[in-house]
Amino acid sequence: MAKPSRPTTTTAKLAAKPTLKAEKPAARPRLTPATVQTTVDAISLAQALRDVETANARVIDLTRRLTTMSQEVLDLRAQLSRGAVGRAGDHGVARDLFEARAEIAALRLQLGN
Amino acid sequence: MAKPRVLHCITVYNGRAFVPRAISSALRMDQSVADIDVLILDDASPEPGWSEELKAFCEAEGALYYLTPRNLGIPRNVTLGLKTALECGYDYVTINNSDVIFPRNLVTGMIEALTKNDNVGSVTAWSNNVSIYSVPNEDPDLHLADQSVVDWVSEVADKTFGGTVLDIPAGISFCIMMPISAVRTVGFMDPVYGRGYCEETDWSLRSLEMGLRLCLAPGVFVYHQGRGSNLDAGLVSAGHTTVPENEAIIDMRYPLFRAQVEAFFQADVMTWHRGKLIHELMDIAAQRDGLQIDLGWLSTLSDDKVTLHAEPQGDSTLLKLSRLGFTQSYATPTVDASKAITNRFGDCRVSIDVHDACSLHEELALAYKVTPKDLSCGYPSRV
Repeated sequence: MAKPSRPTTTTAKLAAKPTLKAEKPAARPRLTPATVQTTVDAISLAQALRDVETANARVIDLTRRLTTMSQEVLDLRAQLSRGAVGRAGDHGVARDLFEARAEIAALRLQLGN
Repeated sequence: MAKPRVLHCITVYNGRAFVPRAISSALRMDQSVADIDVLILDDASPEPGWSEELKAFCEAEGALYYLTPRNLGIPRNVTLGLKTALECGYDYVTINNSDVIFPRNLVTGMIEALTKNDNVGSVTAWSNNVSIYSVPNEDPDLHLADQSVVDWVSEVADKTFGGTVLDIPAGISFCIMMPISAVRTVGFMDPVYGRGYCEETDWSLRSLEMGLRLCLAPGVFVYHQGRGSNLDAGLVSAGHTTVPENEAIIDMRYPLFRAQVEAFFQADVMTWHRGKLIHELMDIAAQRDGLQIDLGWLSTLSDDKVTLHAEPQGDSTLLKLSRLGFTQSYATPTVDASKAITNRFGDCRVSIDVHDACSLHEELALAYKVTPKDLSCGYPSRV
C-alpha cells in the first residue's frame, strides 16, 4: 500500500488528543455589522482548511481500515468454506458408520442372536 | 466589573415564515446580566430573495448577519458560531434553531444555571419540543407561539426551578449555551455528520468524556416549533425524525449511549419536573385569569381562564386542569373533590358550568357563592 505523503494523514496524528486548550488565537476585534462578514469569512476559511485536511486524513484512514477488513473477510470466508468441506467429510464418515451398524444389526436379527 | 459577553447564534436555512420571529425575540432578551450579540448564520439559503431580505431585516433590527458563501450544513455552520465566539473573546455562546421563540429571561437563566453549578459544560433550555425532555403540550403551535406566553411560562419556570440544573444524557442544540472554556476544551462539531443530526449528541458525549456535565436548565422555557428548520434544510423528510446513518456513527463511537438514555428514562426524573412546572402554571394562571369549573363528562375549554374539568367516576372524581395546551390530571375521592378544589383554588375568581348534574356543583356553588350555569341537556351528556 502506498504510504501517505503528508504527515497529517497518519493514524497517530488522527488519534491525537485535541489541543484546543493550548490554542490561544489572537483576539479579534468585536463583531460589528460592518466587520461581521469579513471576520467570520476569515474564521470560516481557517476552519474549512482544517476540515479538508481532516477529511483527507479520514479518507485515507478509512480506506486503510476498509481494505484491511475486506482482506479479513476474504480470509474468514476461505476458512469457513474449508471448515464446511471438512464438516461435510465428517458427516459422510458418520453416515457410513451408521449404515454399517444398521447392517450388522440386521444380520444379527437374521442369525437370531 | 464588566458584564460577561454572550454570542447568541441562530442558524438559518430558509425559514421565511418563522426566522424573523426568532430574531425579534432574541433581540429583546434581558441584557442586565450579560451583553448579548445576536449573530444570524445564514447557511446560503436557496430561497430566492430570502437572504437579501433577511440581511435587511437584521440591519434594521440590530442583529449581526453572516451569509456563508456556500452551504456548509448544520454541523459546520454551528462550528462557525462556536469558533467565532472563541476567537472574538466572548464568555458564552448559545447555538439556536430558528424555529423558536426565546423568552426574555433566556440568557440570565442559562448563565445562572451555568454559574451556580459546578463543572457544567453545557445547558439546554427546556421546551415543548426538546427531544425526550419535552414538556407536553396539546397544541404548541396554537397555544405557545406567542412572545407573551413564552415569557410568562419561562418566568414561572424560573420561579419554580431558577438556577437548578438536571443532568441529562445529551444536550440538544435547538437552544444550548456553552461557556467558552467548554468550547475550548471539547472543540467543535464534527463535520462527519454531514448536513446534520446527532452532531450535538457527539459534542455532548465528548464533553462528558472530558469530565464536563451535560445539563438541562428547567428555569428557562423556549417555544420550539420543531422540525421546521430541519425540514427546510432537507435534513429529515416528512415522516422521518432522524438520520439513521448519523445514529449509526453515534452507536459505533459511544456504544453505551443508548443504555445511558434508557437509564435516564428509568430514573424518571422528568416526570416530577414536568408535573411541578404544570402545577405551578395552573396555580398562577388560575389566580391571574380565573378558574372555570366544568362539571360533567363533556368539557369545553375556556379561552382565557384555567379550565378545571371535574368528571365523576363513581367513588373517585377525575380533575383535569387545562390552560394554554398544558394539562394536569389527578383523581380524588368524590367525597373530597369539592374540598380538594377549594383548598387549591380557594381565592380564585370562579365560574361554574354544569354539563351533568352531580353533588359537586351544589357544594362548589356554596363554597364560591356563584350561581352555576346550567348547560345540561336533561340527560347524560355522553353515551
